[in-house]
Amino acid sequence: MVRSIILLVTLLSLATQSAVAQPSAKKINYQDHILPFFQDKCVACHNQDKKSSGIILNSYSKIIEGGSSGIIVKAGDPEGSSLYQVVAHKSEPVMPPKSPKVADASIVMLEKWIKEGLLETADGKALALNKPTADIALGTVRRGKPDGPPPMPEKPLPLDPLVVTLKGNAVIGLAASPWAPLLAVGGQKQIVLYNTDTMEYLGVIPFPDGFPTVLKFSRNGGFLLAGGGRGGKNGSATLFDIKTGQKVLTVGQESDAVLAADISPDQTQIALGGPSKVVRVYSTVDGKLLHEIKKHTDWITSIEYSPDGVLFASGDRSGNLFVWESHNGKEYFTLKGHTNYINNLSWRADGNILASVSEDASLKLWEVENGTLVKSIPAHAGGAQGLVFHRDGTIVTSGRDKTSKSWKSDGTAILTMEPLTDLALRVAVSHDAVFAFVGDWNGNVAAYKLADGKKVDVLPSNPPTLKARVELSAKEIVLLREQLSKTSAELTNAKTQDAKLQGDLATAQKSLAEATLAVKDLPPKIKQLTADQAAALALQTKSTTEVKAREAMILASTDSLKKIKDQSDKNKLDAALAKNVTAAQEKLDKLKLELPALQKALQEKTAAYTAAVAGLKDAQMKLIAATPLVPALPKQIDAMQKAMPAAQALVAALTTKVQDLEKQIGAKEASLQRYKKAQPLANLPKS
Amino acid sequence: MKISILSGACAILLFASATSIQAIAPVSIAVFPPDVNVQSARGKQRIIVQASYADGITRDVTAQAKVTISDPKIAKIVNLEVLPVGDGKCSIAVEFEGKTTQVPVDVKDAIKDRPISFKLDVMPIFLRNGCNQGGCHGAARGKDGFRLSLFGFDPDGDHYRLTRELNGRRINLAIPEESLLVEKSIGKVPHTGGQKFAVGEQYYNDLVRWVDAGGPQDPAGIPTPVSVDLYPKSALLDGKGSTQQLIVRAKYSDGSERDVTSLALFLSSNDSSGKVSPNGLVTAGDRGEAFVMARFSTFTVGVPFIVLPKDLKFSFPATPEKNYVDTLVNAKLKNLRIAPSATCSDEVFLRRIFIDLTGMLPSVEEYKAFMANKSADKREQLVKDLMERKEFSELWVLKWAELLQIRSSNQVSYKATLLYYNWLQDRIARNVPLNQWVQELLGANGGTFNNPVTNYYQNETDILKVTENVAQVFMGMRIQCAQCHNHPFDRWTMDDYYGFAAFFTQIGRKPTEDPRELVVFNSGNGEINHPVGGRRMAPKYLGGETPDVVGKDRRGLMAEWLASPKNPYFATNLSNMVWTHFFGLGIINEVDDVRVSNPPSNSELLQELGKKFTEYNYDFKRLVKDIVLSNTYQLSTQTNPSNESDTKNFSHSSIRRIKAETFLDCISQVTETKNKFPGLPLGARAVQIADGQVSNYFLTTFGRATRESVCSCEVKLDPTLSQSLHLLNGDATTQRITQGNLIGKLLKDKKTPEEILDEIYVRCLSRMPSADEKTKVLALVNAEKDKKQVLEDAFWAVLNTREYMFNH
Repeated sequence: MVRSIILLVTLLSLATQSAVAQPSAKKINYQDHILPFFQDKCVACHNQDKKSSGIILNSYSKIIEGGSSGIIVKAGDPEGSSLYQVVAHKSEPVMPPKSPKVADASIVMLEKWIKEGLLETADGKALALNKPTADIALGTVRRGKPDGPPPMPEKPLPLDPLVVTLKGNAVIGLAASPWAPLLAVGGQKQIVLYNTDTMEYLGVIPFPDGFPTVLKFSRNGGFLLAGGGRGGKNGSATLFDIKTGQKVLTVGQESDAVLAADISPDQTQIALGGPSKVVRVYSTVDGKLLHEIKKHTDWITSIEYSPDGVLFASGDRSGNLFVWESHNGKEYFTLKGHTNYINNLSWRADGNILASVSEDASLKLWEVENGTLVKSIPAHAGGAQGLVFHRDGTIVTSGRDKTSKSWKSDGTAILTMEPLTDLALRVAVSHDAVFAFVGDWNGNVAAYKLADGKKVDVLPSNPPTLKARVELSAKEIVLLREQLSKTSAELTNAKTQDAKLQGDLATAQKSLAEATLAVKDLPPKIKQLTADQAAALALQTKSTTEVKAREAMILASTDSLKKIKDQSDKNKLDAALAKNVTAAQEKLDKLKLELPALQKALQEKTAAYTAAVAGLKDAQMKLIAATPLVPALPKQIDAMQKAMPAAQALVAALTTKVQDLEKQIGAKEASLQRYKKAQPLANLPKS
Repeated sequence: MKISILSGACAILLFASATSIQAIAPVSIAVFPPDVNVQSARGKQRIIVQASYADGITRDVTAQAKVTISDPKIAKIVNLEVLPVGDGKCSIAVEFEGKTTQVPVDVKDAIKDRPISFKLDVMPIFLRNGCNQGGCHGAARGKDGFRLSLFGFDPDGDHYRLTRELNGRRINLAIPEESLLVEKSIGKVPHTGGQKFAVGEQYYNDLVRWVDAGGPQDPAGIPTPVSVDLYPKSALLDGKGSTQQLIVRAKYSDGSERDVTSLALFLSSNDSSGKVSPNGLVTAGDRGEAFVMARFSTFTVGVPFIVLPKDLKFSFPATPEKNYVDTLVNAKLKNLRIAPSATCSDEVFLRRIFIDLTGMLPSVEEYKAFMANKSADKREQLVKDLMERKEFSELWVLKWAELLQIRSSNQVSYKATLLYYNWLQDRIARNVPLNQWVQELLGANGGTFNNPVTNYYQNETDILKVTENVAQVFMGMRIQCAQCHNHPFDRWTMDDYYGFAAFFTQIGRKPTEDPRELVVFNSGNGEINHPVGGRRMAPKYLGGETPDVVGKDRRGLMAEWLASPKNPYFATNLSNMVWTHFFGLGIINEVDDVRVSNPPSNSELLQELGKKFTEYNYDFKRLVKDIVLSNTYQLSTQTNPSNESDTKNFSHSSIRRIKAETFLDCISQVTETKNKFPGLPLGARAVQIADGQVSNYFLTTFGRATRESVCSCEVKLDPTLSQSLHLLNGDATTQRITQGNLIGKLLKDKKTPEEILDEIYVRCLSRMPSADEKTKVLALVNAEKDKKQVLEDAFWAVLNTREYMFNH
């Protein structure tokens, strides 16, 4: 099973590999061959602190000097070199003790090195002094924000991690830049950087000396100091330039991993310590050891310079806490109170208070004027681990109770953040004090909003490969696009719904107005129409009567005319009769002539009446229809009005979501472009 | 000619090998373990085949034996290991040189993997590789900044320290192979303890697998080991270089079994005879015995190995067997090919038995009577006579007073001490069965004057000390180790220790009107908690059950159990104590150091003595009789070539220094002088001193027990320069000779120098001077005018002989 894919390509191992590949090209020398071998097998005892038999094997000059029983190597004479003899099991005591003999190849190498005259370096010249690549010392210590834009990596950092693992290990190196949105996380043989504004992955800085265990930014944010190494083997602290991501200086030659380190505010000193129990202070000007402080009785676990750089404090595994004068390494105060492992130290911005957290569960505040304990708070049951005294006065701590807590500068509790699932080991606070970052036992860094203690993001200490990241990014973009199209459709739908709701509301409001009007106007109108109908009926009746009367008269006249005509016919010459006939005829004709007018009048009256009946009925129907609407419609309107904000909010939300998604896709695409443009690890120039 | 010689040589060689093949046809073969139970896909069980021969020799014939498995669908055998194939039962048939045997095989969960367990897989690695021993990370403050609990008594604490004490350092979840724990173990980075194992070994794989799994703690209720077996049960190896592989199997609380040979820590009591490799291969060395042990979890188990020179010719001489003691001692000697010495002379026996039974030397009259006695059972008669004397019980009162620490102090007044002593004297003089008075003692309640035996709980008031003393005196167990960690070389765990201590938590003490007297009573309350985790411990008999103690006197219950056959250690331990008195060496030695890793030199003998003692209803006089009347007790100190190097199998009598009190009494006896001890009349014997506080220069110089502890080492029997100087120049000899004026009295009685010389020899050495001695001394006497002076010088010289100073 492949547990971890380790892409071990550090500068150091590259050098060794090439040396191994071409042994003839390079003569066996101390720096490239012998020291790594000694570090593997010997320096746990033969180092500057333990000095077993007075022999120190991690320094060329000390090897030449020899041990307490005299010289150990004689150039050109392996048989006369006790160092070779004991390693080759040719004389007692055989070395390394309690272990099988070292590989034959190593013995041959050692023999060859002695035979060839104990070369220190490949070119035979003494090792150059460990000078920094740049002059970094500052003339004065300046408090507050430095001039110019806050230092961020200017050149793209390698995005492809040097070491890729499925899981992370406990995060114990964690620091945030004081001025820039930059978070540094100690990973596996590398430092992982994130942007604290966007939580975006920025890349890695290789840490070739092993595992970074302590990270500190310089006070101006321009440099990152990383201490660490390989447990039981070697330890050092390396300073990196934030803008270039390049190593500036490495100091320390510990025989175990460095556990504590800091750079002085004026950037002239680096102090470090670890299981050797010795605090060593190096100059950043020439890499020389300035002071060795041997007061601690246990592993050095924490070191921090005061803001003005005049003092620095160091704590150890037994709870001893000291304050030293930076310029001469002399003791300034012993701060007695902690009873167990001091995990972290942090100074208040004004330099008057020093805060410390310990496995004894307490957060302690020390006043540095007189070296007195001001306050001791049982901060985290089981052990307090992480600590930051931010320059705005907020203290943030974390601990074995899996929680992180914020405190006012006087130690009053502010809030406890959402707990993690395992030990909360280290904390960092973003430059603007908006976010707190908490490194945990499982290898993740949780980002919290400092204001409310809500967890907002999780940043892994084990970033995936660039290739995996590109694939993941592309996949994420596809997913986001799918989400976008879905959301857009939802938005359209929501808009339609909203428009319809608005139309319906207008209609309802209009109907209500009409109905209200009808209910008000119709009753008098109906009354009028009822009267009108009656009048029209009367007129119609009268007209009908007239027509009937006329028709009766015409009938009567016709009868009488016939009678007269008959008489006249019988009495044809009767003129009177004839005249009567004419008169009757005339009368009938006249009657007949007026009848159509009467009939027409009747017709008109009938029509008028029918219209009146219809008008009334219409009005009555309208009233019946309008009456229930008046109470009903307001309810409907109310409901619609109430539904309106939700619909509008949905539209607004979806709009925002769409915009957000578009923005995210934009950012992801930008990142993807960045990833695609970035050099994969294999193609990195082997500088 | 040459050819024929060569061929002749070949023929002889062939013949020789043919006979040796014939000679080594085994009488039986045995396969271990007697049954094979394999669980889970990772399960395995190594098997060994042991052949036994007519002469008792055993051989590891695993490699030569033909091993076949009855059903290859169930299990297979690879490199002598039974591996699972499928679930089910089958059997293994083993055949070697015509002998056959079978063992059943049971395979369960053949294709199911078992998740890695911290307690079952990881913790044993630390024990096996010595990580958690006292000189390394098991030290109280750890080593190089890292501590493990000593021999793994606190697995939960170890889990914490490995995973979360120094976060990010000891294990690396991201890259398990680069965990500091792993890199140190394999020597990839410098390690003060050196490289413990290599990449790819089981230990490495399991450590990495555990870290890779996230360094998990075990779920609650994970099975725990309940017993461990070591195979084979014994071995008798023939010649330097012959080997025997051991296998260790652990049984767990869920009934499962595992082959833990690769996880057990092997130790040998005697590397020069039987050296055991870390993997459990015993290689025979020089002739001798080795007790080879395996430690796994909290268990230590051992098997006896005997190594003989190759093809040793030996025949056991005719030796009288008076009783079971001789039978069992001789049985062991036969296995060891050791011939016992001859039976000692009457003179030697007389002196030896007098000193051992009465703490006195035989008087001249007693000497003469015994030598004149011609009856066949005169030794039996003498023993019977001596055991009736009051000196016999006084000697045992002294012995018990040492163990019960009868001694006045700030807590115990002189009066109480005296009463306590009288109580003890009464019990022993009346020959009250041992179990009875031990029960009375341990369950005692009442005033320290009224019922003086309660002083036992006044001498020592610390609960844990009382617990340890009871275990050490009455059971022979030094359980002190288990106070802070599980006993590294024995079965005792902290649970056992605190479970036993819980019997002593309810001892009430209150003052009386007399400030010198106290009342010891059952207070009925008081508990003890386990120091790891703080569990309240229920009273549990040491190596026994957990009784119901509600409403009962816990000490009463404990006393009843302790001094009874229910306690397997009581009778054997007291038998061994009695045995030690007569041989100067315990069957388990030291007598109060009973532990798995200090096995009895003759287990059958010890068991039998214990059995008899129980059968005799704890009448220790009968046990004494069995011992002193055995031929083994009566062997000469003269060795023969086969037993000269034997120091622990009782093949010859040993020369023993006489303990301080007895020695002073003997000097007083032969010089006819009197001693005055505080609180005792003039002329009282040193063995009668009641108070351990009382001593004098002589007694202190000769190692009188101070009674400050219960340790058997309180009585010092090592010779020192000041002892020699004291006898040469001190007041113990010259002054006493003058003061007693024995020579003067004898001269006054008109005894001749020769008679006086005889008297001196018989008095001091229970023998007549040899002719040579006589001639030389008398020549000196005759040459000197002052006969008294020269005879006193001769007396002085005899008192300074080794023959006088030692019991032999």
